[in-house]
Amino acid sequence: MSGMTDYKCPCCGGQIEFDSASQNMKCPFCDSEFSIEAVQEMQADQLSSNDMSWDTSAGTDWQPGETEGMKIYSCKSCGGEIVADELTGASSCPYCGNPVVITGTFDGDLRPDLVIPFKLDKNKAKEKLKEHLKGKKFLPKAFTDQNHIDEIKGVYVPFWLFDADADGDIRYEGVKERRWSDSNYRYVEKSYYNVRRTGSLAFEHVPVDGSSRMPDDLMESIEPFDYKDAVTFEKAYLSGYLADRYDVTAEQSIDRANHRIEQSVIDTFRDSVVGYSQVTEKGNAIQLHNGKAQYVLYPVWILNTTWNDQKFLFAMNGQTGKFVGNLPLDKAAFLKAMALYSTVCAVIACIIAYFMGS
Amino acid sequence: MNYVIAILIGILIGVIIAFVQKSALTSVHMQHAAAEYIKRNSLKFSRKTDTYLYKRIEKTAIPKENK
Repeated sequence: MSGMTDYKCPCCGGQIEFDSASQNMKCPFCDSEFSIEAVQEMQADQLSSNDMSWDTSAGTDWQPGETEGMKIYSCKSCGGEIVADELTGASSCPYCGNPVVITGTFDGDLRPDLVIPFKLDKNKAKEKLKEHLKGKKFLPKAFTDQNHIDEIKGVYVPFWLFDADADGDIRYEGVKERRWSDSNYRYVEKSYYNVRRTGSLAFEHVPVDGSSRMPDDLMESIEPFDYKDAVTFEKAYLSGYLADRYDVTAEQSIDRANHRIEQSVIDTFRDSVVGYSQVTEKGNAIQLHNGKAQYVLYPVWILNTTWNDQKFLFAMNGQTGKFVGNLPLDKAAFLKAMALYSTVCAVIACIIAYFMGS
Repeated sequence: MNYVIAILIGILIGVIIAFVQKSALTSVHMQHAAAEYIKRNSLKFSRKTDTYLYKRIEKTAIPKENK
């Protein structure tokens, strides 16, 4: 007959049928029984397909004369392009430290919607670097003694900020365990549940950096920025600082924003599934609505340092002071310490074993 | 045999301590998600169901010591 629905056993995958004796659905292959309500719940609306779409019209046009005096500086070494007013100027690339030259007058780019002005100055950045190096085991001593800050630069980094409302529909299998034993056997009873969570979650100002030259992991590491300090962009804020030009469009940044939002929906919904010894996700569908993007400039202090012919890049959030940057490893010190810790722990473990044995 | 296990556990603990200290040198990483950007009190569930399906019991015999 056409139009018949197949009901699959969640235990063994066989086709389950109505059992008149128990008035439940029963699997003839594994003898599992399910209430009608449980079967209806399992068959309830198939998860809708993922659908994430955005309105990416962000930024505005510059007012006539607003870009007067702003120059583009290009680095022949790494291809970086930064913007500075002619009074501030720029002599070296914030990303690779090589000289930059003026290659043109700035115009035509999008005007940012908002900017978070610098709250912390260059001295604070130097202070934070010293703190960052303090107390780090396995950091080569020579790095702390000999490294010199080549340049510290205040750079306004272009970001796309994404707002969205997310609808999620996620299905899980939950297992509750009960254990007991008698004189002959140990028993484990596992009860299986079909768990469903459907709901919505709103996001605001999810940042994705709009510069391909600024390492994404470095920019994400100095998050979060506090949006409440964001103000309407005025050219005056750039005075004394550099500004990176965006070369990653909002459309190109969407995937990253989508991924982070999707992960947060999955994590938040998962936190609501409690009381089980084991939870397995069986499927999810996430849709975004009212997605929109803004183009903003965020303040970042960039520090370049050179040691042992290697370049190290540090960044400090110019608003909150969060400081990040990977440091080199003294391999010999690391291996020596590992051997020492292992020896001490092994000796302690043997002493414990001796007293437990005697 | 107990001492061999004790030594192995000790070495493992020592290695773990060293790697934990080494991890402090790395502070740059991609963010996993966007938890800081969730709008406060915006989480709303329209469906929250936990439906019992079936249960299974596993039993394991307790070994008896020969006297």
